[in-house]
Amino acid sequence: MAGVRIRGLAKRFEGKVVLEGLDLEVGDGELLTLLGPSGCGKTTTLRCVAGLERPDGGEIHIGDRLVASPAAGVHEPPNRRGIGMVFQSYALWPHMTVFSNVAYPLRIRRRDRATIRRQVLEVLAAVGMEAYAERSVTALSGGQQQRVALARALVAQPQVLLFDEPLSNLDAKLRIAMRRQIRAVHDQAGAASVYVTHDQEEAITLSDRVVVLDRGVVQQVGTPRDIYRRPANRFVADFLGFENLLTATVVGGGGDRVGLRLAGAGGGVMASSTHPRLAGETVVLAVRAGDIACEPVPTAGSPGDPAGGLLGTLVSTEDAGDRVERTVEVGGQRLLARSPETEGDPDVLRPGDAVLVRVAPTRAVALDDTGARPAETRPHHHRPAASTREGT
Amino acid sequence: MPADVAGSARTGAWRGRRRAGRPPRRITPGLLVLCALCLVLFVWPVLMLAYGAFRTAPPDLGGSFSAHGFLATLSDGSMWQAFGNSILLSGSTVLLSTALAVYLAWTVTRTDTPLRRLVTPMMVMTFAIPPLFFTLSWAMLGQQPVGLLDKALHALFGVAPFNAQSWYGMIGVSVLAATAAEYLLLLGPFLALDRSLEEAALVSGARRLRAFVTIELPALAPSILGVMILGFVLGLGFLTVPLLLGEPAGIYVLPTEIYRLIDGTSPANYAGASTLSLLLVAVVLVLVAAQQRLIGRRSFTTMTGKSFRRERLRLGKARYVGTAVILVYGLLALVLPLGQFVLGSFEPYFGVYKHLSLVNYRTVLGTAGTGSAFWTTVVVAVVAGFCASCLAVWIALVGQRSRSRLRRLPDLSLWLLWAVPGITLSLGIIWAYLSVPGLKRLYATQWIVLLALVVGTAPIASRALSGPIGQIARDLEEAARTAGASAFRATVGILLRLVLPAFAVSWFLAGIVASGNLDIPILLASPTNQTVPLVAYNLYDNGSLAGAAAVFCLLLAGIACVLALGAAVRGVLGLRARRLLGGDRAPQGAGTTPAGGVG
Ligand SMILES: Nc1ncnc2c1ncn2[C@@H]1O[C@H](COP(=O)(O)OP(=O)(O)OP(=O)(O)O)[C@@H](O)[C@H]1O
Ligand SMILES: [Mg+2]
Repeated sequence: MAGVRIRGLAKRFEGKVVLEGLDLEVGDGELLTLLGPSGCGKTTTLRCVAGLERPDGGEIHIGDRLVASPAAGVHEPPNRRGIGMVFQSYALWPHMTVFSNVAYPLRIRRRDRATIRRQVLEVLAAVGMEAYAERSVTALSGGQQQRVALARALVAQPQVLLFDEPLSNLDAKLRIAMRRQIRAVHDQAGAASVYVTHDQEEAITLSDRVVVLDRGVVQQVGTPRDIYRRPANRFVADFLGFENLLTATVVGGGGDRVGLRLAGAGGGVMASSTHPRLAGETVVLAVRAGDIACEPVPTAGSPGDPAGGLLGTLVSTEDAGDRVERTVEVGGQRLLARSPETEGDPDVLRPGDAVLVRVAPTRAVALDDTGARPAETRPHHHRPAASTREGT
Repeated sequence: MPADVAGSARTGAWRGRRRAGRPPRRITPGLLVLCALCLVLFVWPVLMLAYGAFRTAPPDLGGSFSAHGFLATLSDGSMWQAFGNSILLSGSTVLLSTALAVYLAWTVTRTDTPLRRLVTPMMVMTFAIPPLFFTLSWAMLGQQPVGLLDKALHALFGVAPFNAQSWYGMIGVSVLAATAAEYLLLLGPFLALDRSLEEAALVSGARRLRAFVTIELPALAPSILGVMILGFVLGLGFLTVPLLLGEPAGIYVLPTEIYRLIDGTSPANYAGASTLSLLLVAVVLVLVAAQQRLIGRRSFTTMTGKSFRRERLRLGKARYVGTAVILVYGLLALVLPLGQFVLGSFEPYFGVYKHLSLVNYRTVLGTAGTGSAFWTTVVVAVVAGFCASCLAVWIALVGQRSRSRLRRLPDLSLWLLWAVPGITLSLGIIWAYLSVPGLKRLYATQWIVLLALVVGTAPIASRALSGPIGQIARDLEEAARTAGASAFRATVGILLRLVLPAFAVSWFLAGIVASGNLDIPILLASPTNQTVPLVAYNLYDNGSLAGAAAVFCLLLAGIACVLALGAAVRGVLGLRARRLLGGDRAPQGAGTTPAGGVG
């Protein structure tokens, strides 16, 4: 069985801690994404798995094999780890043709000529580059180079595939096309893949599971839907584009649903929570702008009802073509609401008007008010390693 | 994936590469002056060699045209033997020294070999010491039966088969000197090569050694080949080593033959010497052209944005092999020659190890000619280095700024100079200036030596300056455009300041090379205006090895002072100088941020 298991990985550079006690598991056939801001240690993690970097602590297993463990004095060199890797810069060898680049891993493995030829052409066909086999790699466009790099990583049918931001040098259109190709190639190869990116959209659309990293510590592990809809803490919510992070107080509810009240905002909001909360606890209310609607205050409202919405004042309206963005002040905090362009008159609401803000109850999340203190957030171990695959 | 996507990406890249907003195409007076200057300084002497090959008399004695000298020289078997010897000497030197330089560059940039940090300073020192120094001190070391090495070997083994005045001695000493230059030239490409190329090979399953041999080495091949051809070319025209170590053993090469035809035959055979010079220049031109054809401007080394130091290859016990190589090189290139020199300079008579005294220094400094030789050398080195660097700045600026077709001319004529070895250049200059009535008065003055040294060191200065200026010019253009500042003020005010550190390095390099040069003063200087290398050579030639050692110790002390001063200045300007020099490593078109100063 293949797959990668990382336990307690630690890495320092010149005394500076980059990774500390990192745990990760990638199942066979799974595509796991490492997502995080620049400098959080994604590349370092990947390079430790590849064997290009020596960890200072912890263990890495590939399949059943222990490949790195400083405590046990184990460090398998990269060439014996049976991995394929796509580098951010592609790292194609400029003095070789496309064919020789892709054939290199097979030549190292001493396959015979005919096998090499067949397998190389097969994998080049899989990435749509068979017509370019005899070209020099320096005479290719960025997207073509990227596909050659992909073919080279795949050709020896490695059990583990590593991708280090392979799409970051491409333009937006090409990126989407290549994303699909990578997913297809991964599914076909059935390898365990680790994919590094700092682009949340890429992570959401591509992966089976996403690991969000900050400063070398796992913030959350989950399916793309989980990560997107139910961030585990303020950092993840912020990083995944929750525009509104508001301070609120728990007023009731139990289990994974809680009622919240914002100081000076009249009514209240229902939100989901990962764990039961005590009334009076201060939490962070995270909501995407698209899940908030504004409407004129009805004359006979019921402001005491937590689901009834928040009372606020419209600060400004911005017409962004196909949607309208409104900034509303509620009890001293500002929030952003985004609604699709309505046929109705957009000028019904004017700056200074009192508005009723409604938050979609299933989309709001109550988070611990711990800021982004990484060390206190633990990965969610209750989720099975080989998770159910989510559509991409 | 749809083809049009790839297509649009490609055109996008092309668009990015095109450089916008060049000044209009026109010929300025400045450009004309520069072109004329380059033609007179660089091209004319070479053309005059061809003229001289067909003259019947020495430069200032009239004579007529005749093909006799030319044909007689070419049909002389001993000339062709010298030609063969030249190729053998230069070829074997280049092969050995390149192998050593590549090995050391790899050791320094990729492995955890102990003492690797010593290598670069050692190479800089070796490079800064004039080649005449090695040659002299090795001639002394291997002198039978009194040289230091000879004595030591006798004491240890009872026999000392080593004699510096032989093929082995010539090749060995040439390798020591050439390795330093080649190492310094290769260090940049080794550092600039994208490390992920190697890592991709490792991940593909290759072992480190295989990754190096199949990936890194071929990717570096254009750089290595370029260095080899340059080394071969320079080796062909190298006079010092064969003059001091080959001739006594009856081994002749082209440069020594050229020298002998002028200085060792009576009457001097200028036509023959010119013919040989032409032959040398022709061979070198063919080689340079071949190199351009073969590899052109292709360079695989790319600067990457990430300049993190990557894991070094852990060699285990084998790492001490590298340490041993480093130590042996240091011993042979620096410790032994320096030791022999210092010791020798205190010996009353070379080989007499008793009664050490300062008598040589007293004699040398007491001699009227020597004192003035030091003065001449200092002046000539400082002025020649300065002029050559100014010329190089001018040529680089014109090459990059002008749009006129003529802009390539100064650069090309400078290129021609690589093909003209020192002794050949001196001969060309003699022809060029003695044939013009008004300029004849320059002959045998220190002005002509100075002029020849400016011409001789201009290529070195150009190499040190054109890269940094390329970087600055690009940045300036953009800055000027965004700031909308007056182009002239920006150029003068900013460029001069930015170019200063690189200029200092170039001045220093050219000055060092000029001060240790023997090939040029040996033909051009008269007894009244000798330079230090010439004085040292004459002392050696007259059998006064101890005196030569004393003279050279003084010169080395002077160079050491300048080096120390340079290091101090560099410490002050440090960062900027390194950034600018680092830019030299980047290929011209690379738009990435220079990440120099790695390692
Ligand atoms: N060889 C090295 N030497 C010193 N520091 C390093 C080295 N490699 C990485 N670092 C540091 O470790 C931290 C993590 O680096 P890493 O490359 O893993 O980040 P990343 O998450 O991949 O970021 P990015 O998205 O920008 O690629 C950074 O702060 C970086 O400066
Ligand atoms: Mg990275």
